[in-house]
Amino acid sequence: MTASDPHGQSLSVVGRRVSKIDSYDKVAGLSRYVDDLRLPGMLVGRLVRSWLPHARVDHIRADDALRVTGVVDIITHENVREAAPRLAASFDPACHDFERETPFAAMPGDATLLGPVIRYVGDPVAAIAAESDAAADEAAALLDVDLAALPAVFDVENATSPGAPQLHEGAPRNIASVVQRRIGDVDAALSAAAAIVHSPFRTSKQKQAQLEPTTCIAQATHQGITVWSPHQSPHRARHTLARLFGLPLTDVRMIVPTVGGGFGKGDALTAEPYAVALALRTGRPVKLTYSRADDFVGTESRHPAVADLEAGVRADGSLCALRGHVLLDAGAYLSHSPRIANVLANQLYELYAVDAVDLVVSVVFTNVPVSGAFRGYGGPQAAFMIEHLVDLGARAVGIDPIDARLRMLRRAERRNGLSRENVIACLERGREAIAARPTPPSGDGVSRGVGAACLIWKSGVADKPGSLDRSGAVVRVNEDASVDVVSAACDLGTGISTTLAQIVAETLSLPVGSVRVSPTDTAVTPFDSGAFSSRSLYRTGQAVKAAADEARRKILEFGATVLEAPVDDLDMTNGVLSVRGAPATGLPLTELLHRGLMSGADFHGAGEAPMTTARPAAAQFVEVAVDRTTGQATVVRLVAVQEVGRAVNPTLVEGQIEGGAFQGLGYALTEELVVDPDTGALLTGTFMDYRMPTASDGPRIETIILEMPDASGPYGAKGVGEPSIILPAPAVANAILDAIGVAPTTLPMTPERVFGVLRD
Amino acid sequence: MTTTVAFTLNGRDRSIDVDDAELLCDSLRGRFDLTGTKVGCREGVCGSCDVLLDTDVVRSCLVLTAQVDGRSVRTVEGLGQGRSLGALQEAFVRHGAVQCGFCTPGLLIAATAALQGGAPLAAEDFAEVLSGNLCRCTGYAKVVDAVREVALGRGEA
Repeated sequence: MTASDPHGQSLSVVGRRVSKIDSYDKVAGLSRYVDDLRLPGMLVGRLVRSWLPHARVDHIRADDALRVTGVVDIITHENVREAAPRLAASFDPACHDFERETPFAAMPGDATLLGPVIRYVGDPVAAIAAESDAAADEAAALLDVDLAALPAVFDVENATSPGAPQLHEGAPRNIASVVQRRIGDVDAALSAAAAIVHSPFRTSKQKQAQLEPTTCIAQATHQGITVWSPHQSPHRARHTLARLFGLPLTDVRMIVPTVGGGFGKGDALTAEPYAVALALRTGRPVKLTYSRADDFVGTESRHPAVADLEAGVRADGSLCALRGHVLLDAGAYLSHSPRIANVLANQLYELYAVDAVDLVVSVVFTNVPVSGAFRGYGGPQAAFMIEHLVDLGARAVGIDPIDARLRMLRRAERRNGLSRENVIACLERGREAIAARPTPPSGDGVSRGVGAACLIWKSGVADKPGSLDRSGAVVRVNEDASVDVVSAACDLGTGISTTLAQIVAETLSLPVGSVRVSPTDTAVTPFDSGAFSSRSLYRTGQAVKAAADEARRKILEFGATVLEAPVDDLDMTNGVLSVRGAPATGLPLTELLHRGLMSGADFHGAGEAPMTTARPAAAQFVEVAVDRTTGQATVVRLVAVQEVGRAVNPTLVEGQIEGGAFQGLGYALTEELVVDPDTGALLTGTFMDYRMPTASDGPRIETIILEMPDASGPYGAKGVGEPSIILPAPAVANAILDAIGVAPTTLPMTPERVFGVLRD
Repeated sequence: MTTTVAFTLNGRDRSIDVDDAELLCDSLRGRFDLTGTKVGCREGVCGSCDVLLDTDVVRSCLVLTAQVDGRSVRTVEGLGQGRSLGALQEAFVRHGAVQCGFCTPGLLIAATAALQGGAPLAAEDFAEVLSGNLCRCTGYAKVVDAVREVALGRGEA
């Protein structure tokens, strides 16, 4: 069956399982990631990190370290301004500071480059540049750092208590920001409810743990600074770096080579500012690659949340009220936290359009490694809570939880204008699929159960006031009918460069192999907000489609003059332009393009994504087997249904769903960055201790792709990247609830925790 | 202390003088520019730096270069023939088993070793032979599919 676009045109390249363009070099070992690059004269950078969770940096004696052969320079808070005289007092590592009401206005909790106060175990106190790793290591060991310890606080409950040590001026009781949502009369709704369910929730600090350790190379010349980095949002990073170092945007260039995974980690500045400072000071290129331990402690992770929520339930299983509070652990600095709190709050009540809501989400500073962007961005915490409350509520009134969801969604659809058609379709399809293979009966100390969860998600944030969500692209049709696409879509491994090539090939009626998508380099690519919020396919796709449309129009207009026929009568297929119905008029595109170039025509298109959004949806169904003697919950099946608008490349969509579901299973069952309650140090900051799923740790993900094209998306496509990671945790919790009548509300749901709730 | 190490690297004889403490992954990447071998953790857990030492899979971050004297080392760059890819590499491309690609060389090496073993693999073994390698992008399904296809002989070009 041939796919067709939203206007009924049949499609030839969009919808096909084109092999990822970059995968040939990757399997051959030829792709160059940042750490594979070497510049002439390049130095090794190394960060020296704090061993205390909260302290004032008294003095750093670097004499001995500087005497190590091969050590070139050491930067500390005492001399950082010598390297960068126009250094800003603070910056936003999330690179959203341009979007503040007054652009770049400081906020409490912004980061400081090598400031005089450190706020978590691992906060950098010095940066070393050396000729070799060995010299850098020796210098790091010899650096004499005096820290004056300050009282510290490691959890959100204590941090918000009176008398707690305060991390940042301007944030009393460590409250960084508060999101409130009040709708209707919650007290009245609760008193009218058929049942009230109430639960505490605790979610874990999950790490992106992309396989490529954090790294970058910085170079400083009289023409400014160049940074090679696996950053997800290089144009936004350019804004923030320019502001931080007091440079015009033209003097900051970000180049993104092959990226070894992102998952949100790369949506923040990490090593880059330190490498730039070292490069400015030494006049030589500096590569700063983190160890895996540094990556765990020194880059941002998912926010732990501590919540207490109650929901009122009607006799039909639908929610009539939602009340409670969430404390979101920002860690030591602000970064993405306020935005994530906002997403979390919205995801709690918007899907079901709960009538009466009283929610408070507070962002809290603590002396632990910073929380930030991670695939899902507040969605996983919210879904774990609300989707489990829905099941608890439905069960309290004896209603099937899926029936309760469907009822609520149908009712909500009529209320707030957000279409639920796609999420309803996902639920119905998933329910069919999971029922097609009946759950085996429980027995032999093993209890089995089935649970589900669903959501509506987003494709970028262009609909959110105060968000910079732009994508531009240029399409250049070359004289040999090959096509260069210039865009700053960062391919984190998702295959977006292949997908964009498919969109351009489709639009220009050319083979996909003739289209190349440029690497990302802020010096030459149009502004693009970056690869986050499930936006690249939808937003950058819109830009690339618009650019290709313009190039196509120019080709047709020039062709019309050559073939002496109206544009509307022309047909462009397989590299030949002809008058429709008159194949004899056929002119090879190469000949037309050559003529055009020689006569002053151009075939370049420029496109900009319009300020729209589209809402994809998903549902996941999980079957678990719970061993009642050990508490081990084993996921036997996971059916992932996802509505993507248009599956431009089904293989890549499946890859996003399968990979996200595995990360989500890790979040559900095993992954947790544990902070030592006495010292603030990470206890699970290695791959040995931080347990991620391996190939034998999960079921074969059963993916079902639904397509309900959105007219605003390129060939109907919507965002794909995030829904899959959000739903496993609530679906597993609901399956455990189904199996044993109770489920942990603390993540991850380890055997110990499952056994704990069974015993109680 | 330095040692002269003579070994076969992707079929070619090589001889280098190395510090006794130099790690194989650093020699491969730094001296031979074979950067296909990735360093994901430098503590022997993730498997991104896997190479074949004779017929065994080893973590090249846990092997000293001095230890490979007289032996044969094969990296991801040695899995194909010139510019053409080997059957496993082609299967990875065809099945969409590659996303960011950082773990891919290690997975290819681990699968190569498993496939060159004598005993045929049972269906449940495919995930098992890959379970020593962390991948954060794919959820492993398409990697398993690619390896299974080659093991069953359909991947031979």
